[in-house]
Amino acid sequence: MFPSAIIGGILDGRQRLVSWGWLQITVANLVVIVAMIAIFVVALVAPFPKAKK
Amino acid sequence: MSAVDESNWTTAVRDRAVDAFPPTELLPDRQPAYVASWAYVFGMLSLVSLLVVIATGCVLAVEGPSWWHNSGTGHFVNSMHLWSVELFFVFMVLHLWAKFFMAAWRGHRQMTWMSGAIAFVVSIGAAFTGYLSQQNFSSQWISSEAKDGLNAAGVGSYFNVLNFGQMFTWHVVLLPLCITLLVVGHVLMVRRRGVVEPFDDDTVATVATVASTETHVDPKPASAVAE
Repeated sequence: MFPSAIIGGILDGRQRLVSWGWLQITVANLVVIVAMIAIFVVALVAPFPKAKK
Repeated sequence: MSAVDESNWTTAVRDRAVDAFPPTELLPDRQPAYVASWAYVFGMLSLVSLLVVIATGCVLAVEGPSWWHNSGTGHFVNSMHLWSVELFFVFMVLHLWAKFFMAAWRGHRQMTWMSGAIAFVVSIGAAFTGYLSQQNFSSQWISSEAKDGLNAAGVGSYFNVLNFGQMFTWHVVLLPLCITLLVVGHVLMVRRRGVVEPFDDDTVATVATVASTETHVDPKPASAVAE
């Protein structure tokens, strides 16, 4: 399947939910939370560029 | 040159302002070595996102709902406003996580922490009233759903989500004013107290104090001692 078809399938306007026990969350919210955690971890470990002297 | 009148309140305010915020600390050209980390960038990213939110919001306020719903440029600026708000909240939460795990309220910085937390809560209200001000079916749906909760809480007669004029005024005047004042105060407090030190610096300072006195342990962190 082409990437455009996959993206088009995701962005078709329908709400998708992930259920795990009592937890139910939309895929969109889950993606945002996972992305934020990933950015946070990367910010902790990624080297910061040093200033030029 | 005339003598300074100490009884003049403008002189007193100016002296206190210069004492609290010397120009070299208000706009520093050097930073502590420990802020050279991506974890310290989220605060500034939040601030930049807020500036984009305010700039695009000003354009939307000037042009009005028919423009942001019906013109291509209006859609674009409307989307800029929405996505800068999304980024504002993402960066604000990342900033909060970083500051929580480094206990950024250490060293007399509790007001800095609390002002940031209050700014976060007020921002949620600003975002909520923004959704109510869209002038479309989405805002009608959100307001008709929210009214029941607010009525149950007993505030519906004072904060009527079905009243577009009231919600729009909250969104474009009152809440942005509150957020701006809180953020300016927050940044000034950061400038005054400095960026909180990593835990290791406190540990090293405490160990050094214990080693030098042997009998006396200073309970204050290194940042408080430095002040």
